[in-house]
Amino acid sequence: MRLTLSRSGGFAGIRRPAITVDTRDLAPHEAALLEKLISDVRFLDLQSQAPAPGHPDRFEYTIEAVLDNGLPHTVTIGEADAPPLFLDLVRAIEQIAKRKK
Amino acid sequence: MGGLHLGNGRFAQRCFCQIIPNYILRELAARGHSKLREHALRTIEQSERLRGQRDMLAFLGAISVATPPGAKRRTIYDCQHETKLPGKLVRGEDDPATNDRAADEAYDYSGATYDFFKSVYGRNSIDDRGMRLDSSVHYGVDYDNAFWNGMQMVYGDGDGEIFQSFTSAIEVVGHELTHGIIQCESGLIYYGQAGALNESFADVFGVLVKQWKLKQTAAEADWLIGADLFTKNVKAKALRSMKAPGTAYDDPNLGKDPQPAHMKDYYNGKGDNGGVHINSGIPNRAFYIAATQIGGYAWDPAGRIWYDALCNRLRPTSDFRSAAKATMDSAGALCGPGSKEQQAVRSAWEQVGVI
Repeated sequence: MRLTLSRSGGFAGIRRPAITVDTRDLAPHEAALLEKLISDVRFLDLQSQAPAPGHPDRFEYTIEAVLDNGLPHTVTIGEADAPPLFLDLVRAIEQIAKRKK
Repeated sequence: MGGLHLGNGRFAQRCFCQIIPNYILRELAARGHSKLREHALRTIEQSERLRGQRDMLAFLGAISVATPPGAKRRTIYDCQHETKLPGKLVRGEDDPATNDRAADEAYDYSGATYDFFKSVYGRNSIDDRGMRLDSSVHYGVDYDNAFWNGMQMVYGDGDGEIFQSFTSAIEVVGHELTHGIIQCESGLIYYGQAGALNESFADVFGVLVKQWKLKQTAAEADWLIGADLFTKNVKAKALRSMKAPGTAYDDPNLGKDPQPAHMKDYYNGKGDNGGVHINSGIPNRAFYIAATQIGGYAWDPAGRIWYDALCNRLRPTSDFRSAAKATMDSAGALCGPGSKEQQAVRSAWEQVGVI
């Protein structure tokens, strides 16, 4: 599966370039971690939500997942009200991409 | 241990206080005289602890015990790279420096922000009632951000490649605390033009804290936001320029500064809550023009005009045109109708294309 993570907002207002990871290019334990997080957070059931009011300078994350059966699913959630597992997924994608660099 | 005398012959003992609904206890905690407040607070604290409601505890902690005006109450916490708030207490008011640079910067700069608002505008902390100033540092891992969460400030360490600790710049601390003030005053919603105004007021008072601390005139100031946040790896002036929005950076790591300096370049996209950090460039430049045209120190009267508009005229859904009218009205009220200050404010909004 291929995951693309993008981020907007934050104090700096920087639009960070999108990060893409493909499980076919990863070590088995990294691929397994991402698959587990996608499953645990029930990614396919998540809906994008507008950020809750009153949370200035928080990030907003978008994850587009293209799963092995080919169907894409995109979710955009604000950092302040994201399910903790969603933030774990964000963090995992960031760390895996950083290690690959 | 004793009871709570409610007046009207009613008397509630500690074990009874659970019967008093929380909304009454909250009112007592917020408004009662000191003994009543203390007791109400202790009661709520007990019940909330039982329910495990840390959010309420943090809020109560922040508003508990009215301080005499002019007295700061700073508390610094260390998240130790986790994301649970507030984290471990590392420094209280009047405690010595910790030698943790981020903690000590959060302490010093939140103190400077308090002192600025108190001495220039007479405001006693974020809620104008002596609210505690809580900051958590070392939030998360490589966290390139700082934010106000409704009750406290939170700072990341930066990734170390592009960004250093977000406590490194005094205007960042001022910016975050101003979000708290905005929440207590006009409550500008964080979307679209109202959100861009929210961001702009946070930038305005963020740089004013810095200029006031350094005793810089409007002409001497650099009007940059976040210049001190970058590592040496980055060739950029700053994150934002109030003087020349759109020119702060153009770097392979960051992209190009997307801020408009004029309404003709207004960002209509959906990202960043409808571009709140982007379109803030327009009212930022308006303040810069007004302040430099008026001359002298930017925090008075220009900053006072902006402060008056924020506290007394703007509403949650105010747009740029409403802000132009509000600041012109404030200038007229504070400096006189037709005054050079009011003319400078009008000219500023004209130059950025809002009116």
